[in-house]
Amino acid sequence: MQNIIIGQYVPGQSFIHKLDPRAKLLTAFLFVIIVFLANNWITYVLLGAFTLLAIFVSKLPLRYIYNGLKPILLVIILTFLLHVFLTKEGPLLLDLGFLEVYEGGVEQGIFISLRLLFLILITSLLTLTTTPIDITVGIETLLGPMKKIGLPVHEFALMMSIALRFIPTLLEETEKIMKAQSARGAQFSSGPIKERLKSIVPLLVPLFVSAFKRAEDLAMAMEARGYRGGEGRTSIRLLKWSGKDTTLFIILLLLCVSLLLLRS
Amino acid sequence: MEELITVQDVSFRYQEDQPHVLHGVSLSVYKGEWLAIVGHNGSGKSTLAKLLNGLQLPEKGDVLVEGYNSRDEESIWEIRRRVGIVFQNPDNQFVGTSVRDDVAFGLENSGMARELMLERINESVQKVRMEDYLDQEPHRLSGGQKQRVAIAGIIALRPSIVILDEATSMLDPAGRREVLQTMRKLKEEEGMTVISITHDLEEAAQADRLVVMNAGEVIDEGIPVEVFKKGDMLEQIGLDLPFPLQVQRALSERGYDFSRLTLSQEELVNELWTLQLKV
Repeated sequence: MQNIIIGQYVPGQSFIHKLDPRAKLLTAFLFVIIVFLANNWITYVLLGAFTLLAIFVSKLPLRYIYNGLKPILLVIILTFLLHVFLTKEGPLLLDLGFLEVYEGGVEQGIFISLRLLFLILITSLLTLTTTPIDITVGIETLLGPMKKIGLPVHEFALMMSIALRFIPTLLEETEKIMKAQSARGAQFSSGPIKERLKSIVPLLVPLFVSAFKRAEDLAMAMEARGYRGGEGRTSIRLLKWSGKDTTLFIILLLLCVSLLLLRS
Repeated sequence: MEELITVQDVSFRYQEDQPHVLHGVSLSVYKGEWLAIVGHNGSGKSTLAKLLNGLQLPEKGDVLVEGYNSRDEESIWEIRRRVGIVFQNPDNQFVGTSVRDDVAFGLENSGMARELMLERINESVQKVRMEDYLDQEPHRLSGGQKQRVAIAGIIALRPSIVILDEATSMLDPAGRREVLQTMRKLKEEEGMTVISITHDLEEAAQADRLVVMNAGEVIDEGIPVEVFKKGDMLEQIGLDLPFPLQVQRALSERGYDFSRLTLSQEELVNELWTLQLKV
């Protein structure tokens, strides 16, 4: 519970940890797009090489990466099977009478599952090597120009960081309320589902009441300290674009060009 | 003495159809003093704090801070920079995700350049002795530490007045001592003016001057020794007298005469051992 404020973040000193969050965000975003350029074996091998290289360079224990993949693994397998059984292209590989497997289907299945796998690996690499607050600051600066068209970028970023700040506080409070209710005979972890759902209500009501009280107090404290919106406000958090970030973009550009050249 | 805040005949209510929370309150705050505003819950003392830095505006009367009237929209920001408030709940005023971010919050609001900000942050966390915790997250800090961070966030803006609005009431005795010691040091070394709003008379007894509020009015004002002479009046409005004073009053009732009022344990002990001394 104590670690929830840093999310999935695994502290480290690797090349990827030290990259500017903006660079990482942009890379993840562009990667999501160029993944769809791949359509044959060589291009998929290229993407795979890039992904594996990124994982290797991040020096993250593989356990963390596997943990991030676990919930989505079933979806990947299901996608693979669906394609194998439903795509009817190329020579017939296997005929079980009620089921026919074609070469095109297997290929398609592998491609689509790989695509999903790469997407998840790269995006979880972003959250594993960047603190949520850095991601927030990154998003705020990247979307900065959108302020001109009236997008409340600063407000959004502030909301995110306050939410991050209060998650542990509210969790602590939930625990306290649960203990108080248990002491009076409430049961949260046993009984039929319907009963358990019902027992959540006396937990949520006080939690909401206190969250609103906190919000009111916080708004007052912020105003007392001279908060008046994002205009003319400076930031203590400094993002620094370095040679590393440019290197990353050159690699990404090379990847993109090779994909365009090699795709069929 | 230089007058920093002037409250002139201020009345206030939260909503038109509700009764007044403050009726014709007037008081002055002087440079470099420690002023305690005491009163029972609902006496209007916390509302007064909000009027002093422009969080609320008076319905009648004026609040002047170093010449700025809180009624002027332009002055409000000047007033808020000069008057900082430490609120009651340590958790609900911690804005940043780390100590550094939180101390920076007020500075960021004032649009300060980053280099200057870093300087100010280092300087003010040292003053509250939180320099080793700059990267800590709030849920790893104790209540007293969080309140000290709140103080750092305020003094980083170099205000002339710090208001402690029941700032120690949710803390354990150790946390309370930490916070009060920190403030006392700031007052002595930096000449900070402190307004402490409290219902703890023990804390108020240490102040330079006392203002007693009841039902939205100032009912007494003066140096602690003078105000505490009216012990019955303080008890009547629902305040608990400091323990040394209670002991002294109980002894007086039993026929012992004291030469002066004892507001601290040390004073009481001194009075007691010299009581029967005939030199």
